[in-house]
Amino acid sequence: MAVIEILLNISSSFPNEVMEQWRREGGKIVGYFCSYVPEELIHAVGALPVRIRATGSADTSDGDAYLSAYNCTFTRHALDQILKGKFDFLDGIVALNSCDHIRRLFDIIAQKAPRPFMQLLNVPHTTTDGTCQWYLNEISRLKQALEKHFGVEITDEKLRGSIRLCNETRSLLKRIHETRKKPDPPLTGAEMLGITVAATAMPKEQFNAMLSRLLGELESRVHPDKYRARIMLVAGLLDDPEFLKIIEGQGALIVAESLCFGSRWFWNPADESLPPMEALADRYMNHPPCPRMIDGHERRFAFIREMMEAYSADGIICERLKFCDLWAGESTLLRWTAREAGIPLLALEKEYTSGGLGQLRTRVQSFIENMGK
Amino acid sequence: MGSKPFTRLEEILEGFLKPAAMMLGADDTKDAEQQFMLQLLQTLSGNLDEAIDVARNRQKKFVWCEFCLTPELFLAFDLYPFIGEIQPAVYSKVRQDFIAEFIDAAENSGIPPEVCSIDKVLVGAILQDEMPTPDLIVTTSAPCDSSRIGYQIMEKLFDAPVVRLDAPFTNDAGAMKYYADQIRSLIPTLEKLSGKRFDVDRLREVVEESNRALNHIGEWHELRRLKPCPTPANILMNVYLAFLTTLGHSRCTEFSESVYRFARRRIEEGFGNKEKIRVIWQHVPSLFDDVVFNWMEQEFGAVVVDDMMSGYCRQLPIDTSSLDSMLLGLAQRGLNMTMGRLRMTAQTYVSDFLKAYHDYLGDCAILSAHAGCKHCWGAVNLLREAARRENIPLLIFDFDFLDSRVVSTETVQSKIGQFFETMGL
Amino acid sequence: MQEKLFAGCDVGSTTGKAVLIRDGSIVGSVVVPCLPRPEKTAELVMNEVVKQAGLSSITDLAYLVGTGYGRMRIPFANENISEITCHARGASWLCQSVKTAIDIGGQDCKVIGISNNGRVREFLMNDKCAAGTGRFFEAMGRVLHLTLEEISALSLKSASPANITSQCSVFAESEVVSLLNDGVDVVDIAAGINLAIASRLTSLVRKVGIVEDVTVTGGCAKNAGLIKCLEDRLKSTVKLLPEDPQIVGAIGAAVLAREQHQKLPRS
Repeated sequence: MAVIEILLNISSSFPNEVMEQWRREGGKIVGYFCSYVPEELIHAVGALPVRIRATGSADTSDGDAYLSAYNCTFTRHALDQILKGKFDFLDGIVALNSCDHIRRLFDIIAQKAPRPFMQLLNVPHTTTDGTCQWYLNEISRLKQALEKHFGVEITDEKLRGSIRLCNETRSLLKRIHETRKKPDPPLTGAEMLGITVAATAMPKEQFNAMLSRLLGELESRVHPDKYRARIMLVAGLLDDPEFLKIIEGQGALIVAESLCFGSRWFWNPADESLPPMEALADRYMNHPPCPRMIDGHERRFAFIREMMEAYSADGIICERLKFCDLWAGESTLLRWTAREAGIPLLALEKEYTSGGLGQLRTRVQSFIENMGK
Repeated sequence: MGSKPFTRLEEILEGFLKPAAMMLGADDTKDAEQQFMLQLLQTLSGNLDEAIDVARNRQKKFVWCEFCLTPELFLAFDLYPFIGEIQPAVYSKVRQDFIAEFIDAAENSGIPPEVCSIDKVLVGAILQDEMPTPDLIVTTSAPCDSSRIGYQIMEKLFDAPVVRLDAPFTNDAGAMKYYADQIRSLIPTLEKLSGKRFDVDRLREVVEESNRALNHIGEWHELRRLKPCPTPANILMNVYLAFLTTLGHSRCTEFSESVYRFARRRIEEGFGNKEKIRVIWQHVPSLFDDVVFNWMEQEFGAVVVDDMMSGYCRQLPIDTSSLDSMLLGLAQRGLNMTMGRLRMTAQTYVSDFLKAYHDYLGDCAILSAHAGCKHCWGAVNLLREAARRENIPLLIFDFDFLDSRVVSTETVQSKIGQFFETMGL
Repeated sequence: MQEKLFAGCDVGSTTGKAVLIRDGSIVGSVVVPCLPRPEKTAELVMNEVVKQAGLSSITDLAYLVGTGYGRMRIPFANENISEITCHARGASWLCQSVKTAIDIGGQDCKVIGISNNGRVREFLMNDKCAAGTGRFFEAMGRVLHLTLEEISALSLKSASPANITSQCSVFAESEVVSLLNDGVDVVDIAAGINLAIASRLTSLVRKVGIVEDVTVTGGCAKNAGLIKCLEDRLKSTVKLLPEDPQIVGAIGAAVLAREQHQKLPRS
């Protein structure tokens, strides 16, 4: 099987075969909820860090006993899975004040279905020297808690190793992402998302080896489908390649993205010349920001602009989950900013599990037509 | 932005508050309640008068402060602190048509409907040229997603200088010190804006003034624990709105004292009581209508003896011995006297509720879940379970506390009536 | 001497129901579709039931309790009592072991926790939103060109129910149209609809707490496909009541009419 297919298969379920294998061999798994969690620390205690998804969930009836129709469907599906015991393979959960929904999700899990290791990080909403110092203290607290719980000391040497490994993942993902600059990108956006999702759900050592092979394979790969427009995709939590397939099925090839399960997560490396904990604090507080960062709109838009230029994107599709306030506001701001800059933009909203696909196809198709493509 | 801001606020002031105060003032046979209502109207009028005057004439710099900042530090520089989140309540109470105008303007500009109506009203009011462009915006990262993104939108619309403070979600000493340090970092900015050197003694005077006001409010709350409760529920939110905007101002202290005196006078007069049911109101009650409270008292003898926002006002006085102690106190007060407290865990939300229920000798509880409040919606069912464990009859209903188009007063009344009837209260 | 007749009249949003009881048993019951005005519906359904029992006039009744949305508008009722209290009492009277009643009405659904003496322990209503109500099924039926009975029967035959994710009935309707256009089998769509509603009801029940026995009242209780989905989701058997589930509220009202009458001072 081609590497790409193996990776897409890994991303298509949660848990997946690789995680189950890891468990069978006695490995520990710690799940986390947000791109502001430093995975390196989890890796350094020998556990497998995986980003929690509710892929495959078709029901929220148990979750809705605690969350409500006013909460976002990702948290409702995730809670449902946890209450149904589907995430019992997790040895721990690390979350933070990403958003109000995740905050309450964590509160409910902690009270109703805690995993053995539970940590909630208090992550700042601005990036200044003072807040970076605070974040450093927070992740030091996480480090100590992990050491105590798993009985493993995180030495500087180990942590440097974990940072090197994660940096390698980042650099490989960035190189893969960059192949899409070509006029005939070898990858679709759906495939790229599948690859990054796989990176959050398997050992990095294995992933990096596969990605090096994939880079070789991509040199000779030309994507067969014709496209009508090159699209920059901007979204919060979006982990479903099937949704991207539908967009791309209308001729809108996604050549670049700013996604939480994508470039915002892997774009910048940690500085290996700094003391390792400082390197982590610096790296995570300065990665391309999410709308939770109240001083981040200009940085977010600059990131999108640069990306669009580098990847010759024709327009933006911005997607958000219903009831997500942060992305509700961000998509509005983005729409205004894009209008000022003369960039075509289509704003979409969806539930966590895809639905209403007919309408989606129509909207994407007419968006491309309106761009004159 | 328009040259003449607050035209609608002026309509509320001149067309409603002042005439109502005039009418009450002309009546020589005022009972304790009417006397108090007069003071309330005069205080609210005073607050609005000042807001409009400063916004238009700028004899002072106009600083737009997010809800979780208390006014004291700004007053110490003789700046005008304008607490943004209080204003929607003022519009909502008097003119629902303004609320509809603002919310529609925000939604038409692309803001999705599920965002909290507080932020939709503020954004809409800016779009409709009602709001003055401030000389400075100071915001915090409390209390919620809606305000975190709402301020990013407002900043863009205003194009004014902005300072953003980061509020951690715990109340421990480390968190408070971290937040107090950020408040401290405001000082040079405020010095520059006001052209005045920071004077710690002036801050001390202002904080002592606000301590006095909160002390009166605290004493009033103690009296509300009496059976029967001495003051009607319709004043609860009014008191909150009137004093929060001007804490540290002598007008606020005088008003707070009058609240306490009103309760005392009612007790001394042996006011006729019909109290049968003591209700604890969780979350924010309707801001567009006090009728529900009066109706509950008349129809069922059901008196709201405590509500969540009033509960948040039970704050200890700030230690004024040093600048450090004052900044810590302001940090603590700002984040806990308002919706900022919702930044904490769901367990805190539940335990605050249970404490109020027991301290205020409740017989049942009503939780009005504001459609836009995701914090609340993530915690209501843990609260429901806690209420069940303690055999507390509990009604939960959803509505929008600013916008009567979402759920009307009649619907709210029918739900409450059905609850009292069905639970045999 | 024969006991007097007691009546319950339940004027809902889509149907009017009337029940007569005497000596602890039901002696008459009628269901009619609603007329535009609740007082007219009440008059119609009461005249019918009185006729059924062989009485000449409503005035021959000892005591009448009105309930349902239109309860304030029943001119000849001695008293009106909320439909929550009535459903709890009706379900408990029919089957004492019932501790949780799920009432799926025309425009709302309620979950009622019932204490040992048939009183309401806790209740929860889902209104404003059509999902989980008779209206929702009507809307889906329109799109699928099926009756409620057909949706029920077809859904039981599905091996792979369609996934309907929208919470809102308006969006769910467009999802169903999408599914039809994608060529999904009507059988699977019908099952998907029942599953979506069962899932929504389950979360409501969990909020009040699942205390057995659980029963379902209201017109939609006749949807066997829905009941089956609900049983799967709740991991609990739904206790079927020995009477038409649609008249449970009216039965409760009649039972309460008898109780209220006994409280009256004897003349």
